[in-house]
Amino acid sequence: MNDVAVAAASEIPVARPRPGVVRRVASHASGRVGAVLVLLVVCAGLFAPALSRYDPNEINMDEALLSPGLAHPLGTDAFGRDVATRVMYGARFSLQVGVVSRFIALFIGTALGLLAGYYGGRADRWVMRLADVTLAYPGLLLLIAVIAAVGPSRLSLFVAIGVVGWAGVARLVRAQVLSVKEREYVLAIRSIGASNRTIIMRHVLPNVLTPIIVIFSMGLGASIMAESSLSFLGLGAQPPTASWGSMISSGIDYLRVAPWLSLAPGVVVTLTVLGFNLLGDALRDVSDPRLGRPTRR
Amino acid sequence: MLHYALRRIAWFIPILLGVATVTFFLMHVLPGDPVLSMVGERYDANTIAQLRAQMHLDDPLPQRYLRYLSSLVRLDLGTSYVTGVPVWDSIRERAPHTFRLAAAAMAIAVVLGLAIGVMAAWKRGSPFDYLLVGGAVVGVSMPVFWLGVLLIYVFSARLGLLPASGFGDGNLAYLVLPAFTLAQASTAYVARITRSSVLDEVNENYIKAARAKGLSEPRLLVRHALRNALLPIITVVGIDFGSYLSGAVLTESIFAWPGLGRFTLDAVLKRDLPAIQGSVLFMAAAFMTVNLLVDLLYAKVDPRVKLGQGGAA
Repeated sequence: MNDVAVAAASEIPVARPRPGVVRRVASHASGRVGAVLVLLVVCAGLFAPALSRYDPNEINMDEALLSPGLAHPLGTDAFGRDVATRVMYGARFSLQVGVVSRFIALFIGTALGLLAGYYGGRADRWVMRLADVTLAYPGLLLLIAVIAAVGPSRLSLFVAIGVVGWAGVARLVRAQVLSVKEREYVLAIRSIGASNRTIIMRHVLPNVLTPIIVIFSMGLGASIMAESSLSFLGLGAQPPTASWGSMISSGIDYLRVAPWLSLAPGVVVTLTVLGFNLLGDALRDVSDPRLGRPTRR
Repeated sequence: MLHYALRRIAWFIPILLGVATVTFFLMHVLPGDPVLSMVGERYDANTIAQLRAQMHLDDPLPQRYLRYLSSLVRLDLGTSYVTGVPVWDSIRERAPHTFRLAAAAMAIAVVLGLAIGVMAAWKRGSPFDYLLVGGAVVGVSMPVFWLGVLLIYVFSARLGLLPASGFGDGNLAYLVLPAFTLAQASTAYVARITRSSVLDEVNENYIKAARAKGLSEPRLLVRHALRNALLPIITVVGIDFGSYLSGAVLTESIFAWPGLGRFTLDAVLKRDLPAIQGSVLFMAAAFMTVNLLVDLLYAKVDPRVKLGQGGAA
């Protein structure tokens, strides 16, 4: 596709990612790397039980702290559990928390962003004030406070990371809505007497969907990072659940004798977050280069 | 400019009030008994009831909220449930440690980030450039706490060069690993922004003129392009201050650094409500102050920037 066509296409409002988005990401060099990394992690998480013959939580003191070898490619931990298996189950946990919490953030952020942007006035002021307050917290601190209040569990992670992430989404959606709602097709549909509800759901929302999908994937890396940070601090996954953050933190005591306990899950978190970041950037580049990066928190 | 600064400062109050309110209700509406975590479960019911009364825990929530607000107005952050020390005293004692760590990290991030960014821009398109850019991308994706563990493993457990944790009475050797750990994400970020903003300047006419004059490329980039590229870089460093505070919680807990981050985390783990509220409020205020300073600095560096048009946000 040549430049003129790309420029023209980006002027046309579209309802969902244009067909061929997969092909565009595939032709984007770093997007390809990101997609491969993400695919690997997703497969490891999905097929963990089939890929490993070990139980992630079964304690076997006879095999404690074995070095990486044929039977245990990444060695075993202090309880004799296979580290590679736990890393794969950790992918399951991280992906679950990442995806669910992103959906929560997206849902709240989109709903409030639509309200604020479309109706303006008082609704807008209150929503944006609430967003200011949320963003006034240094990110992790608010998360820690929420988890401290509700107690650490999988559900708390979903809710905390989701609720904390709404403000960024709301700001972006609001900005998009502000530009969409003045377009001719919205004015036209309004002039024939469509209700606000119809306009929002049928005409505004579909046209802000592309940036929403882009920020979904860009935020996934951040959500996974937040999950592993909280688990590292002991506020996320609770034992014996395998999670990358808690594996890294419990490995610190064995750093001299069994460094792989902390180092292996760390490499995996880094590659996973890297994968989602690259993929998110690629999606942004191929869908709408004008979308800025959301602020890093 | 003064007018703008005053308006922004006035805006602090409602936002901090919002932060205080959100934190208060978060801590109080939800289950969990701070008295139990204070004295343990072995104490008899009478003592517990007495303590609850002393701490006004049995009063209705609105009343406790009003009491909390009125003590805030008097700048009283309350007394820690766990240590019995006024929260403000603890904050005053620990904040300098965190600022010291953050300042060291910020210095590393700026110096290293600028150097890497300019070098990558200088050797643009070369394998060296790809290596630096790739490193920066990986750096942004690497968890702070994991880098900390990695550095402890290499420099302390393997090489035995630096102490693994602790404060060491202010000995600089103890600052090195935590500062580099905290600086990591920001360094990578600054490097990326520096590279791209220097490259944005490279095709401008004044650069072409300077090049025609015979200036060497490194000199051209540093003296001319970088100077004009400073604006976005300052913003990034400022925006990143929040990540320093978040990162401090993680970094301080890995390295047993006696700062605010660790204090907050300990308070959270022990359900020490006044300490949590106090430190969260303090950090939010610090975060907002830095954001304001960045905006003011922005206007100072670039006279084209007009403040106050975007409203309070």
